Amino acid sequence: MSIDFEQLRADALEAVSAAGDSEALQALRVRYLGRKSPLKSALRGLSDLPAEERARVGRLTNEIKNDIEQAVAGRSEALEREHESELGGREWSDLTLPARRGRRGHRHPITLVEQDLDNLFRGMGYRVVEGPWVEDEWHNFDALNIPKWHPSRDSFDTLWLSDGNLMRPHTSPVQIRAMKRFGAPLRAVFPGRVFRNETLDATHEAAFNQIEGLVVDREITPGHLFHSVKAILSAILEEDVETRFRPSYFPFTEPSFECDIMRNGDWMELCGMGMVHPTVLEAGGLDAQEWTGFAFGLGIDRLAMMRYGIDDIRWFHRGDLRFLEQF
Amino acid sequence: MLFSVEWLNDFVDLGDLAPREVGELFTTHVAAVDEVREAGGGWPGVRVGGVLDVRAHPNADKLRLVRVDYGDGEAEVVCGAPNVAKGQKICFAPEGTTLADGTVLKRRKIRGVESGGMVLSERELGLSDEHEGILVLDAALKVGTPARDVLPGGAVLDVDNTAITTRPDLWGHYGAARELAAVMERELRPPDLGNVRAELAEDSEAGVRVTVDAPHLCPRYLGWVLGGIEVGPSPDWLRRRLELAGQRSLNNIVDLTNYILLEYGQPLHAFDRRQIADGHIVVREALPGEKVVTLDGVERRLPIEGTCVIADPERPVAIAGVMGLQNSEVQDDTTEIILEVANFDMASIRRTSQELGLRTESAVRFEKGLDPEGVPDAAVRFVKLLKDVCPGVHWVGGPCDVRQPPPAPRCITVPPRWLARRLGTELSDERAQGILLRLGFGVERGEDASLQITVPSWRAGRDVSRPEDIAEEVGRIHGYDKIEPKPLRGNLEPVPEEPQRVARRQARQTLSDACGLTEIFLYPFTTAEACHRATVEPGAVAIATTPEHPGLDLLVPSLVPGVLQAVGHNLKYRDNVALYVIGPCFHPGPKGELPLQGERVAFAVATSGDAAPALDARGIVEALLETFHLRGVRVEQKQGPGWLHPGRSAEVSRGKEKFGWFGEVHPRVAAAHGIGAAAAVGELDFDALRGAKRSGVRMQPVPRFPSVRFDVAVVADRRTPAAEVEQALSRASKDLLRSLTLFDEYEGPNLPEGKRSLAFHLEFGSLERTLDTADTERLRGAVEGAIAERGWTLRA
Repeated sequence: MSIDFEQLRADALEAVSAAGDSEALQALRVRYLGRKSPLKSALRGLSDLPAEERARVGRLTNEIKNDIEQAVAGRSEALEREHESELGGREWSDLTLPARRGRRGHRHPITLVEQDLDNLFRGMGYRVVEGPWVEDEWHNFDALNIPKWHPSRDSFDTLWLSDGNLMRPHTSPVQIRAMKRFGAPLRAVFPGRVFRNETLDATHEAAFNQIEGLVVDREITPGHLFHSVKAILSAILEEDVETRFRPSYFPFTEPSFECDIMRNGDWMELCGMGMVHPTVLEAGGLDAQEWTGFAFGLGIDRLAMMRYGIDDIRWFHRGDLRFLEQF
Repeated sequence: MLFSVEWLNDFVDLGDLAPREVGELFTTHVAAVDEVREAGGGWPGVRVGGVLDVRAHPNADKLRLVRVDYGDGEAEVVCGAPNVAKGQKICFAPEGTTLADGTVLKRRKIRGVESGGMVLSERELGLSDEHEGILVLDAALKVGTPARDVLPGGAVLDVDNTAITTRPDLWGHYGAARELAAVMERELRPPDLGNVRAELAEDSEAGVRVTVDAPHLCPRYLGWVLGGIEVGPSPDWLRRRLELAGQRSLNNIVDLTNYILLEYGQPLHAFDRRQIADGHIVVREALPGEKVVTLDGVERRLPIEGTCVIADPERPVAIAGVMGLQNSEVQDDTTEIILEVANFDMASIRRTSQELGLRTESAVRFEKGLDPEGVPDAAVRFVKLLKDVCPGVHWVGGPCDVRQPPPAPRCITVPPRWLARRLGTELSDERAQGILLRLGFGVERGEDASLQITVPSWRAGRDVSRPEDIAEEVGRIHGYDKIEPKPLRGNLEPVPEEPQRVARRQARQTLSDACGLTEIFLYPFTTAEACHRATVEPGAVAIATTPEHPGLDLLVPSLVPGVLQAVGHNLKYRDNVALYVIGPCFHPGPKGELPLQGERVAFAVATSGDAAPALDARGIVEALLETFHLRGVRVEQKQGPGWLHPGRSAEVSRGKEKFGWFGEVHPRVAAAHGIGAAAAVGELDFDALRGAKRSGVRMQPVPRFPSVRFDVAVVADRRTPAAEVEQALSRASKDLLRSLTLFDEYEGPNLPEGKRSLAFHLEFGSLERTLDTADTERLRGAVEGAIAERGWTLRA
């Protein structure tokens, strides 16, 4: 039996290089390298050959087998690449169709601003403390140096309850609760909802949000207050704000100040504050001879309205998703 | 409170300041000025002009052509004023300016010559009736300066009333001027009292009898009979000042009482002497059922308790400190008046004026707590001005001044250097002393150099009573801008986050970010009607105050009514609603304590066409349970509160801890809230959820050996809960079960009537070894046994 090995190699390599797809290539592999292929038959017949012939044919068949295997592998890879290069056209699909994704929910814009304030103040070493929405008269008024006869009680437009308690009209009663709970020295802020019996309009709500800060330590002066407030407002508004401190009046601070910031060439009132009144420190269980402090208050709704360009405070409690899903 | 700059200028020299600067000083040292306004609207557009030259008008003898430089340019105008001259500074209105009377200046021809603007007289500026000649200004003024900066007479400071509620002394011009004098370190000129006091005979007998029966309501009452009165219109200066300060002119007598009120902050009242029986004034409490007709023509029933009235022996003639009565009003033919200058108890005036709804200028001042020591000067000043207005005035006798003994002056001791330390600024005690003296405080130095301060009577009410108050006085006049900002220093210590805030933050993360719900805020207020609509028992914590708008009757006992309302509202605009709220609900607490105000979380999902929204709700509940690492919580299907569909509600609990309910909204309740789509709602006790004992997170071994899986389809009664089947399967397979997943629920053909098939993937595995065929057979046997044991069958 004689095989024209060279012819076989030439035929096989040509056929492999011409194979048009992986099926054809697979058929060629079987034909040239399979069990029934001439090469395999030749290898099987090796033992019948004389010794020197055996070595030559053996080498040759192995060499051809390697060549064909290599050619098949190469062609296979080429075919795969070819296939892949057409993938984009073959399997095109439209990604400009509407996106498919889980619906994202939204946090209330007041929550978003409050969380930023929370981070800011905790970063500065302030505790963030809350108090009850329904307060008693003592914490809300008497302890804050607003006794019964005090005319400024009227200005709070308080909603009283039939049990004699009240909806807190400011977050200041939490000052008292915090002093009693933590003692001094103390740095804390009190964010939360407050309530007023007001006629509603674009800037007046029956429920809105304040954050109040309190620092009690030894030898605290207005200088500390001014520095802190300027730093805090600058952080909140993300700019180095120009501030002005001027006299004001709050029953629970003495002296009291108002902080204006420069906005578009005009002073804008933003933040009321003062040095904690000695009677308030005493009501909080602290010795007013030993401790001094400052307190300041900010409207969270106002900050949210400034940040997001919200034109009407009444949006916050409407529960309208067309508004809330914007944040 | 409106302050006329011209009026303030009577008492402190403000001539060199623009009104805006006066306002600025007041704001930064005293109290907030909301606005600085000018008479004639501030003369917008009117500027200081310089007369460049004056020529004769070619066609008219009495007119002249005036060339004016007004800063932005030059104009030639035709002018009829006889006093215009080259080199003058005048008020010039270029064309386009709106004058005080509202006319807009246009370019026009006057006798054949074009005129492009106007040189203004006092009348055209709205300053007076003077129109004979133009107003000639100080020649030193700069051309182009806005007129409002150089015509202080018309300027008015509008001071925020809430900023001066504790400062009765700031409700008159003189008190405000005292502050400015202290700020600017200028002389304070008291109002001119003339020689009225000198003319009073030492022992002159009073022409009026005053009996104060209610001394607790009236610490001081001065009555004074004044004759020779001629009631008529007020002179220009008087009318002008009242109008600047925002008051209408009535007649000379009433106007003068108002003038004193605006100058000293001390209200006065004039009675027609003829109407006071026996010339006897009685100050007493109102009698039960007493009715009066006030000056505004309204009949009013007087509040009984603590209402102070001024009466004669027969009848009331004024509601003390609030308003006079018609029966004793000054008439056109009145020639003799009884002047009242008094001091009344602030709380009583406040109550009376509130109950009658009469917030008069007088009441507003008395309720601040006026200074009884200010009474005599106000009376004398009135008489001094009355003599100017009615030259024929005379007095029958001296004033009758009935008063309680004055309290001892209040003294405050401030240790040396204390003020500087307190204010955190360099400030000598000498500087502080100077400031206090200018404000009218008495200051002596103690042996230890401390400041022994006497509070002036007009500040002694309640405004200044302790060293901190002194620090405020000194600090604000010294200037807060002189206090150097100083950073806080302190120990660095961890500040733990409050647990309820952590929990809320985590819950929001789950609900907003993972479950796709949007957070809403709800009022804590509701009405019985809103509760009933949601079949929630109305809250038992009620609001007592009469609300300014409806809906504020009760505090919410549950978040459900508000959530349902929000769902209905949003379904008007969209098909999908998914929202939640975290907030307190209110229930009566132990007697004498605050109501219970525990926090709850409520959520709702609604999608039109969704058949099983309650399973979305269940997903949300499970997500929350995972958030708080709560294990072993039962979700038990049973009939719940009225707002839930009786066949589609479930309770969430763990042992005795009841967390709350969720399910599909009852169709009747849904309809009542305009909810057309299938909607599910849930409400859980947030405090209980966050407070419940949590399983810590501990790593479980990751299986190294492969799992074995098989499926079973269980046919059971269609009302048999899936959870019950799941429980049976998992019990049967014990600890080798890795997961159990329901993948099909089927009812219909091929199944007996009333049956349902539930198909599960079961996955088993061991941590120690690979399970073999025998294990699998054993597990399958156990599972099938459990099914058979409960009377269920396997679906072929």
